[in-house]
Amino acid sequence: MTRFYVNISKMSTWMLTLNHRCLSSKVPAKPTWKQIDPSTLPKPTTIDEATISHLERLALVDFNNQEGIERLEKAIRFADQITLVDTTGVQPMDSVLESRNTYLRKDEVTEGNCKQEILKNAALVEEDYFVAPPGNIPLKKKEKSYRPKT
Amino acid sequence: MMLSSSLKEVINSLRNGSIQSKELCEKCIRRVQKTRELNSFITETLDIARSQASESQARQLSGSSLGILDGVPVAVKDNFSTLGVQTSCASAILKGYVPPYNATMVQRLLDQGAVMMGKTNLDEFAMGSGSLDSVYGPVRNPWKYTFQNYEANKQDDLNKQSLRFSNKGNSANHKNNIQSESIKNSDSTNGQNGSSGIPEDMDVSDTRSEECDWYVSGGSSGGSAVAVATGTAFAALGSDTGGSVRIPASYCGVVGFKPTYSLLSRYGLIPLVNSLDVPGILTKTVDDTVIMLNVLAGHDVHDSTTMTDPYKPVLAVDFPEKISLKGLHIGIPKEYHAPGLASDVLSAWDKAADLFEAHGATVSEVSLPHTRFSIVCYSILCACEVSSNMARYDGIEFGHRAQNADASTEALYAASRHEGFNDVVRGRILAGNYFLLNKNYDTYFIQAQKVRKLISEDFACVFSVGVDVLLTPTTLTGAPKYSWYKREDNRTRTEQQDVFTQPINMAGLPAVSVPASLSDEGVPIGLQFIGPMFSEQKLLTVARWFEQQVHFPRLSLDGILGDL
Repeated sequence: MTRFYVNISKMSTWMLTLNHRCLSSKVPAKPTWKQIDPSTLPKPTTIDEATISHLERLALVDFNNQEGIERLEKAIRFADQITLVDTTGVQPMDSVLESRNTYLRKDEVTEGNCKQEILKNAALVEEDYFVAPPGNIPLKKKEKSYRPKT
Repeated sequence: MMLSSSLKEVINSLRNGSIQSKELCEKCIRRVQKTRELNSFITETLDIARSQASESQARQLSGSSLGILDGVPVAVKDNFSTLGVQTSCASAILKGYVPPYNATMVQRLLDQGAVMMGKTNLDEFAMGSGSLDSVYGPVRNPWKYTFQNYEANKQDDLNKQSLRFSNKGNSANHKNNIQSESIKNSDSTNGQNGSSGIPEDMDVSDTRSEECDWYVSGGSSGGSAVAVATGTAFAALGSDTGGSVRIPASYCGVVGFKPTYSLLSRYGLIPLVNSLDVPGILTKTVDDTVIMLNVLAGHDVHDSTTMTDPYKPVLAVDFPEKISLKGLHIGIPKEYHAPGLASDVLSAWDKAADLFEAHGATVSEVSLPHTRFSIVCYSILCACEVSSNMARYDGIEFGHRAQNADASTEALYAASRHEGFNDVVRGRILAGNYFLLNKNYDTYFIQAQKVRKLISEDFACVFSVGVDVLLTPTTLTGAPKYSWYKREDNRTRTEQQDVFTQPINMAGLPAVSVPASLSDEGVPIGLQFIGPMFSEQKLLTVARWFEQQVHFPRLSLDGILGDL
């Protein structure tokens, strides 16, 4: 196939190539993969009430409403695709620097004396202390469920 | 004209005295004020900018200089800590938080005499690809944007534009002033995935009728991309965990660079995913990126993950047209033709591949077989690290503290976090906690870490057989419209938008998005170049060559906003 380059002052020639797909193009013409067939995945996860309160206690954030639970279920459904990859014999990767030595500085005090600067950002302080309510009291269990009654 | 100049041009103007720091700063301040409706800044630091510019001018007059950026207005994403200036991460939980120190990236800019215009808007805690989920409201893309307050000024320009533009179908909608000749990517062949630059489920007639609709800036560094595109800053800092610099760069028609992991310090960058996060650079041109990179790169004693080898500055290319592509091997990873790729993006990618080949480079199809699983892997690793990183926000030492929740420490934590985080952040924290439960740890977290290894090895493999640089699209489509984007939630959009960008973070590689053409709708499309770790010199040289070949039209608002 012939290529036509048109030169119009500063206009870039490549955008004006008339036959946009030339025979030698290395870009595949069609998508090279399809969305995964859900039937190949494990059964969809439904989050039960016990897991909901367990996660809320661990995370110290709440689901807020039914939508929040659905959001998690969709995130899990999406993540389920990871089970389709064969990882036999593969070592988990924590960091791209796993094969390099990272820098360790000497264990010496290099800065400090900034108590006032640090305390300045707390909403509530007493003298030089942060103020917290009593500890070791588990979060109160929610009385009502997010799910609509069936 | 000054505000549509590149960083390199403005540095020259400051040096040869054709403009002085204070005057330049005032021009940028006026532009900040006139583009407020785009919502690119969370905090404008105009007083700080004025005093920095004034000090810079004094130095200028006395013949001294702090460095190459002396007197240059820059912008900083609001997840970089700034001494004495609120750093909010666009979250209610950090409203009013004023860091007692500067992030290393910020400090290095200031050490060079840069002038800080403000802190830019983002998705809350950088979680998102649209810059819509900010507690301060969404960022708007300046391309084809109708400025409410400057209608009158613009009308004239519109008339001129319609003469210069052959815009099929939607010329009435075309509302930007584009500097220099610009060419629409007028691909008449019907693509494989629908006929336009928008996914099939986008009902165009519906969105066109909405007068107030606008294009998404991309995210999460949307505010920084818009600041550069509109000329309120000549360079901006962003952060990139899964594409957060490259996606908004692609949508806003600017250059977005994600460096090799460990090249730029993360000290003072509020973490999202420590093993993936890197500071990124947004500028108008590749040369500008090189200038910024050379200022910012190198070891930092405050970040043990930064490289300790001395940084070798990237040499700018003075005559890109003289670069020879002989011996250069460009790889086209076939998996990046993913379902949903718009035909105009495909066409831009295709033409770019042909262009390299026509100029003597070897271009070949390569395979990165685990690409499709990368976004799944990312969704798991990201949620897990987020759930851990977000544990620090409890309302006691800093940030938002809930009122009337003093029954117990945990009750206070829960109430503060409920009030402080949006649904997206809470959703990722909960998902992370779920994946990290004892019974799920191996199935999801460890499995994802193994898949990460495979993704990383895919890249290592293609680079080991002699491929120098990979060429891919940055995003599936050109900038989408707000009304379309909002039809799905943040979680779903991130899965779609980050598909081509996050694999690069998995492997810690450098990548740059360079504006390539305009979509069928007339908004920018970017292409992504990816190199092996620490290949910045070659990667940016290739990007520079491509940039000078395409002459992408630089956005200029000088006419529209009626100033200068």
